Amino acid sequence: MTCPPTPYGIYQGDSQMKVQTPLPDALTAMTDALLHGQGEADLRRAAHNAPVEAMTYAPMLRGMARAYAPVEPSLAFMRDLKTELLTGKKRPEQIKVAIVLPRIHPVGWAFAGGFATLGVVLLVLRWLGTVFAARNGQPRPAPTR
Amino acid sequence: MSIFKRTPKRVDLTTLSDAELVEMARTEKGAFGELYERYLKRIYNYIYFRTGSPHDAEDLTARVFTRAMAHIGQYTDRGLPFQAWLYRIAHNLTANWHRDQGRRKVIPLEDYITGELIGDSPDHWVEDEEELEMLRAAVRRIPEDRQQLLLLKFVDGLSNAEIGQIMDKTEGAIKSLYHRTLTALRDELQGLTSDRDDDAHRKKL
Repeated sequence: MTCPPTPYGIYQGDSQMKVQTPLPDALTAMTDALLHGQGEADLRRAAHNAPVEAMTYAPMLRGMARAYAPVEPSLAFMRDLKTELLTGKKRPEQIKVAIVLPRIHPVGWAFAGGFATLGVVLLVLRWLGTVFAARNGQPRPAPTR
Repeated sequence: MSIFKRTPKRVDLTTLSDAELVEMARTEKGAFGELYERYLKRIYNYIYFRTGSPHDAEDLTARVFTRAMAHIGQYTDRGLPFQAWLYRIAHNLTANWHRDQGRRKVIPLEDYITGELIGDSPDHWVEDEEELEMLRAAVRRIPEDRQQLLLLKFVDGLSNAEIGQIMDKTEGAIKSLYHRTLTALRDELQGLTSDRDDDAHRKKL
């Protein structure tokens, strides 16, 4: 059996060969290092034995860590919910604002419009009646009280 | 005599495991209070990033804990830790919420592309809040199980094994799914970046 050549001329066994971490393992390790370790330094350390491609994911992982940085719920909410769960006392209702479009009632609007038009027509007719009566020399009807 | 009077020893709930607390919580509400303290923020964050609304996150978080408390008597630890059980309730309620709303937030592709991205490659696009929101929008477009995985990983900082318990998959399957999810997300972002460059080039001409 022939041994593969090495820079030093002596075959030193497989233990000396660089063992690459598979990409899925490397990505998990990099993420865990970023989230639970010292950040950038640990991320690079985790990517050390990974395929070169692994580092192309690093900017996205950093972005994800920033985009999904945990938020704090309001203190009032935490306190009120705990009180509700442990004592049964209802927490204050949340006021919600909903945008409600104005409702249109076509039938109602048609009736109102019809009555208004009819009223206007009657007023005009009455006015015309008085005008013609005045021209014909007839006495104007006395205003009713 | 007072020296013979034994006062019941007060148990420090913070030292107990989840399983012990669950057992106690069946009869004592205080134990549930400790579980609440342990998981409230994590569940809230999970729901918050899935709904994108603090008000809805509060509503749904309240429902998760109310339901958990109501059904804690029926919970049995058959390989499913309390944490995973709680996340499953949260996941189901959030899925129902999305179904009821019928308005899952989808940002139009045009809006996404017209955003000011800095640099030529995804290496440079995590610069400010606007770009982070774009990243969140891209995540919201991927399949639901992948979204769930990313949120459990980044928001709640869970390990692959813990995520596997919640999603009912093996640790290896989660690792593989995580790899595929990141690859798909990266490709999508690269595609969007190149589209944006083409668009900018066309405008110049």
